[in-house]
Amino acid sequence: MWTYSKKLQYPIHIKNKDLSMAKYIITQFGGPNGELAASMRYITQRYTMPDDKGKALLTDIGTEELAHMEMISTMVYQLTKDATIDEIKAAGLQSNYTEHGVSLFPTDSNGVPFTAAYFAVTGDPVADIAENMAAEQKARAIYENLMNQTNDPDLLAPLSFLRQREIIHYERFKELYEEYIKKYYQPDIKQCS
Amino acid sequence: MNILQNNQSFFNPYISNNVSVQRNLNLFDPQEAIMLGNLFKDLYMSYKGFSNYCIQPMNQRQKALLDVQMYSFVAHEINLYLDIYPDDQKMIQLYNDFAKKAKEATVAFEQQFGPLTVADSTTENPFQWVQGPWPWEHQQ
Repeated sequence: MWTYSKKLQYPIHIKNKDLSMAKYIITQFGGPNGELAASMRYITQRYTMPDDKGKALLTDIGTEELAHMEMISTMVYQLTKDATIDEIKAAGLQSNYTEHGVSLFPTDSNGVPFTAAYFAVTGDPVADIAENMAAEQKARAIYENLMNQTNDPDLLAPLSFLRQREIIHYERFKELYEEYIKKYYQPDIKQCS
Repeated sequence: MNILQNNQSFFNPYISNNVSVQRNLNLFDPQEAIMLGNLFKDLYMSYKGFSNYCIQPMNQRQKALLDVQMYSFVAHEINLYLDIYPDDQKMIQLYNDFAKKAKEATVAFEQQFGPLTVADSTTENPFQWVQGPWPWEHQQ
C-alpha cells in the first residue's frame, strides 16, 4: 500500500498567476509523457518483472512519479488560483473552464484527456523497460520545451528539478535494461563439433 | 576473479549476484542534490542557457521542511541506486545515514509544525492531521 506524506518532494511557491503556462504545464499531468502516465505505467508493469531488482525499481520510481504528479498539479493550481473569467478567456482556456471549472483535470496541452493507452504494458520486461527509457527522455524534452517558454524562476526551479529526475530515471532504467538483455537474451549458439 | 569466471557469469547471470562491488561515485552535497534534483555528479546534465536555481526558504516552517525534503531526497536517490546495485556496502551505509537524518529532520519538523503522516498525528482534539496547510497551498 501507499502512505501519504504531507509535503512536496521539492518546494513550490509560485507568486505570479500565469494561466498560459498552466495550459501547457498541464500536459505533464495528463499528457502521454506526463507524470500520471509514467507512474501508472511503472506501477502496472512491475507485476511482470522477472526479478526483485525490476520489481523494486518500478515500485520506487512509480511512487516518485506520483510525487511528481503532485508537483505538477501544485504548479497548475498555483498558476490558476483566483483566475478571473477575463484571464481565462485571454489564455484561451474557455473550453477547459466550461468542462472543469478551475479544477485539476488530466489532459495534454491540447485538452486531449488522459487515456489508459498511455500505460503501455507488454509483459515483456525488455520491451517494457525500453519503453520506460524512451518515456523518460520524452518527458525530459517536454520539460525543456516548457522551460523555453518562461522566465519565471518560481516555475523554472521545479521544472529544472523534474527534468533532472528524468535523467536519473533514464539511467537507472538503462542499467536494468542492460542487465535484462544479458540475462534473458544471452547468446544461444549451438556448439558444432 | 579470472576472465573465464567473468565470462561464465556473462552467460549464466544467476551465479554473478553475490560479488560485492565497490564503485567510486562522485556525489553532490545534500544541499546541492536537492537544488539540482540529482545526487550523482557523473549523471548531472545541465540544460543550455539555464543555470541551477537556489532554494530560499522564507520562514522557519519552510526551512524545517526543506531539511526533511533534502535528506529524504538523498535517501531516495541512494534507494534507486541500490535497487540496481543492492550489494554496494558503501552505499548501503550511506543510505542508512541519510534515512536516519531524514527521520530526525521529520521529528524536528513535526514537533513544531504538526504531523507529516497521519501515523505521526497525536490524539489532540481537534485531530492534528486534518489541519492545513496542505502541500499545494501557498505557505507564507
